[in-house]
Amino acid sequence: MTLTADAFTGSLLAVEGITDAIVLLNGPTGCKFYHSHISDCQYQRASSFDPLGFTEEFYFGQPRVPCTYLEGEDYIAGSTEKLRRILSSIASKNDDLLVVVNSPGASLIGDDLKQFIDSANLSKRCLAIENAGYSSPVCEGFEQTVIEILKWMDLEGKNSSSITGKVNLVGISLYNSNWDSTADELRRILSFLNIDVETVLCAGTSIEELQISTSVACNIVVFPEYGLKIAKWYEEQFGIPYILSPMGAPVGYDATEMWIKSVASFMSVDPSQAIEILRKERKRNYHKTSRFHSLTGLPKGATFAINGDSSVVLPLTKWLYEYLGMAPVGVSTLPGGCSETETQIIDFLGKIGFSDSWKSFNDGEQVDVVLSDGHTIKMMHEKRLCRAAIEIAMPSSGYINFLPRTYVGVNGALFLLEEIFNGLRRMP
Amino acid sequence: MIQIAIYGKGGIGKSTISANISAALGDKGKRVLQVGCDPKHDSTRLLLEGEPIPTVLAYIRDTFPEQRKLDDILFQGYANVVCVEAGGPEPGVGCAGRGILSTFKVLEDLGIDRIPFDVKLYDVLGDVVCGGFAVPIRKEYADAVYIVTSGEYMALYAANNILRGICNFDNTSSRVAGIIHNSRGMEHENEKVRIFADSVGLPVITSIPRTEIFAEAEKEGSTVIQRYPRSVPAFLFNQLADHIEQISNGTASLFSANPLTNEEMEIIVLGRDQDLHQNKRHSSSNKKSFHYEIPKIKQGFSVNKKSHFFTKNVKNKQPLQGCSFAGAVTVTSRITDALTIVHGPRSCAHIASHFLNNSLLNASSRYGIIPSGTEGKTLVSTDMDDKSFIFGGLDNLILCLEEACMKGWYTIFIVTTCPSGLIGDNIEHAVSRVEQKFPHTNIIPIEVDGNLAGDFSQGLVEGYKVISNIIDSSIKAEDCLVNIIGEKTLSDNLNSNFIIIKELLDSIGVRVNCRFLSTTTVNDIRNFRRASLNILAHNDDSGMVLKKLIDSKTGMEFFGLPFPIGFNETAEWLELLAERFDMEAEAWKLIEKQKRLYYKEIEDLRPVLKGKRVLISSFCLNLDWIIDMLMDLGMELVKVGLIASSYDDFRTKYIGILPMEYDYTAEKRQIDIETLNLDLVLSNYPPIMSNDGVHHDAIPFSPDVGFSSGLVMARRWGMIMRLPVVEGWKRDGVDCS
Ligand code: SF4
Repeated sequence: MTLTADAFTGSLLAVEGITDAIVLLNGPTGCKFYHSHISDCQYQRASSFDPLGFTEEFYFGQPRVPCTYLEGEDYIAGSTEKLRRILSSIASKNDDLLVVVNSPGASLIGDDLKQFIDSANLSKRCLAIENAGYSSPVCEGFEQTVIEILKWMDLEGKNSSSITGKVNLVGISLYNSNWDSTADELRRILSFLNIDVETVLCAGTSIEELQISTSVACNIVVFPEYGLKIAKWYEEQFGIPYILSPMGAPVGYDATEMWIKSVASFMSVDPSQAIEILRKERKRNYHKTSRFHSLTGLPKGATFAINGDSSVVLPLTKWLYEYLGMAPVGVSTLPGGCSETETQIIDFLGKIGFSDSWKSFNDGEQVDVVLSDGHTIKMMHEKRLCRAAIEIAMPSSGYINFLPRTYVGVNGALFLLEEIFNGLRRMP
Repeated sequence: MIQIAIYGKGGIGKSTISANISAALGDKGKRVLQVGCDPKHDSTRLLLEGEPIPTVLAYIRDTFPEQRKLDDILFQGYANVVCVEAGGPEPGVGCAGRGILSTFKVLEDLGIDRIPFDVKLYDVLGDVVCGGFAVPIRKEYADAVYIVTSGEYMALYAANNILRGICNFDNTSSRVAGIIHNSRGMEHENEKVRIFADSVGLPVITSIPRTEIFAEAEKEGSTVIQRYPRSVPAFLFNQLADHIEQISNGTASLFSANPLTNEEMEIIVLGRDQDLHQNKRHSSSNKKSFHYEIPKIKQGFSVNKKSHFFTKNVKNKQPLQGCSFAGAVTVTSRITDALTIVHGPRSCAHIASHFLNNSLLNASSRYGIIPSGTEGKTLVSTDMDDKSFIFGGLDNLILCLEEACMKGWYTIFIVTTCPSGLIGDNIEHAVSRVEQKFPHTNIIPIEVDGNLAGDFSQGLVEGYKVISNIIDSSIKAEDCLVNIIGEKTLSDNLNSNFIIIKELLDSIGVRVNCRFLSTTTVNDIRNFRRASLNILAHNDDSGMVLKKLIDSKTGMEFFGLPFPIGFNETAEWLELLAERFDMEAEAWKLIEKQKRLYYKEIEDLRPVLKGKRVLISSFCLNLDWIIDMLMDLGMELVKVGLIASSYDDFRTKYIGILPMEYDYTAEKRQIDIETLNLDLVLSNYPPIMSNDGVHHDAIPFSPDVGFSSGLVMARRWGMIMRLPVVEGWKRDGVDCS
């Protein structure tokens, strides 16, 4: 199975999720190359890949994540000199927010990053994350860094009870598979409730959007692993309440309907239009399901193995079991999962007689449908260990999407069905 | 609220002084927090009736983050002084400085700032003013710094070092309160301290006399303030407490740090003025340089031991490209029956596995080479976290090793990362402990320590170096067996190229013994010497270093040519190799067949491509296969632009024949495009837009080997010439930055 990323990546990508921010990596090029590559894959901004376009010092031929290229002597003498140069060089490019993040090795030197920032007269547009939480779950690094940035921004509180129809989406990061399509799909669903999304924290978000992120009625937590702490922080600081759907992320018809109802009830708006759209889709697709089922008996009895964030695994496992009659033969969650949600998964598996499936996701065993990170599903697909392979977590399989694709929301449910049904048509 | 840092050399008595100051402040009704920042963790003992308290670092090691509470690490002592001890690792392991950083972070996270203290006092070990121990000097912490010293040279030396630390951190504001002289009762001690203080421009705030009552109070686990409140020292501590108050309300001054140089220290503190000058005058004539003649008999051994195999960037001290860790893992992970343990944070293992998996997946989807059972699955991580950074990561490493042994791995590599190198984890110790338990397992550390050993290529070399020790030197060579050395393990066409090479070898009856290293077993490596010839895949810098390395280890013969690309190179390669194995007839048969196919296709393509003017702009070091193709097609090569830094290793048979330009840039290319009346530009990264009627195509970084590599390109050019110069989609990006 894939070795997952950790909080260091989560932290760097939190900054890279802000359109007018630059992350400066205080660390070696060994850490830089990957993160620039992954940032560019997840959120393409530069039109060219040609290293000749990025020959200046600190960039090493890549468009993103300039770094101090720490080496032997810097670890002893400190990174002062390089930090001084990188800060002034990058700061002179534009007015973007600058966030310095220490690599694991740099965090051991203990350089006073704040002092460098002050002495470079950049404290108004630059902050530092000295310890990104190495080996902790990727979501923790994301949340910690977003909160640090928000604290540093010194946001102005508004009276959320007087605001209607505006929300933030919290808990979507660049390190979520197809994060942009996910945000778009949720915006679309919310528009049927006459709710506008003010800010998505922090995925494709501008500083200006972050500044107005306190002018909302509430925060909607999409993936709690990536957003619950942030939402709680808003509540503590500005009294902005948050919504967390009891069924987890809006994945599959049932959890999406529950998500819509939770939001509508909290915001006191009418959910009927959104629910009507969802039910229409269910009806419309019933015939396809029924034809396929009549001919093959499937998808009932098809097996699936799933490994993802707990807030995705819970609704998806339930939905595949209850709606499609599929058998969960391997169910695991990624680091950073919520323990309550995991307990719900265990209870559910126990109730349906699949207790043995918990924590037994095996990427070397044959299964009909695999839902996991892009590397694992592609590898299993290439080895013909599965019939359908669906990416629900990073790292990405590298599939290039032109049509918006997400496993979240109404369109997400259709995407899942399409992949599963067409997969099951293949030879085992 | 005021924050005070009290620094001093270990053993100088700063903890006793800190505790007494806190006690005095507490008696005056101040709400005081004392934080001991010394791994010895006895700073607050005298405030707590001699009782030790759990340290913050031990607490965070043993408690899950969500269960942590401030109450568990704060303890109330004499005069309601709140006491905290940072603690630290065992001597010789981990990183104590990192521990201080973590302590401050945890205190902050748990909300220490919400408690309304009047004074926060940090008692800090000042022997080593590394980043961690310097945290309390940071602006957000200490408003004022007191330095405790005696008149001994080493204490004064440490005091001066602390001033240097302050200076390095912040030389803009005045934050030094002065010197606290803790007397040792030496002769002329007061004078020495005063001279030092004068030289650095600081006041001696007080001189604490050496007296028995300290020891008396200590025996009872208390401060002199508590035990002997009317004593002279108690009086002086009360004065010190007043001084802190004065600083707090701005009635006492703070000073900037003006440390002495080492030379000044010697002159001023040791009074070495004259001696020093005299020594300096005579230094070169009086001192004899040390020279040891190595006895002839030992020279061979010594040279061998010292023979290093450095890649270009490491040798030339150029900025390192990537880290040795990733390079070494790239090599070890290609051994199918060995496990690689990444000793480091999860991100390091993730990064290495990401690129490895990507290459396997691309090889599979683009070239149909499906990964074997274990490929991409032989990597695990010890997941070093903050705890391991502070206390050392050996416990986790041992656990991980034992688990691997129990799972049945017989060969295990340990590759070290930056943090493991920086905290100095003793890997050998872990290895010998586990090997005692599992004597049949071969545990092989590759201590590259992230990028401390060098860049990615150096890591490849370090990996190969260690792995080459597995080679069994007693194995006898067999004819018609070759080893393949140094394939590009992260290239998508790694295995498809190997298949082509294997077919070529098969055609002359030669078989591959060991791929060093790709889809290789430990046994293949052991039997390395069964081959009679080594074939180097690439003769670039790291390839040549690798060749040198294998040569020094085995003394085996190397074939003179690297993997061939294109018709001409392949024909020559096969011919020479066949000659080596007396198989010329078989080779000629194949070459003749390929030649016919080649020229037939050239004839087909000529009408479209002949006379077309071409520019090459490239990072690549081997372009002959493309140039050959252009020549055979009758195309006109106008210029070869070599991108900066690559030309040191540029090898071509066309040198002096073709116009070459070194230090070529994107700007120069644009000018050439505008002025040279070109038809086709070949680059590693073709520009997106071409508003000049010129076609562009890409040169692959890692070309396919064999007879048809050039033809594949030529077919493309023939096609491209008939397609629009600028495709419609490109115009959609005109305003994209
Ligand atoms: S070994 Fe060092 S440079 Fe390489 S990825 Fe790990 S921290 Fe970064």
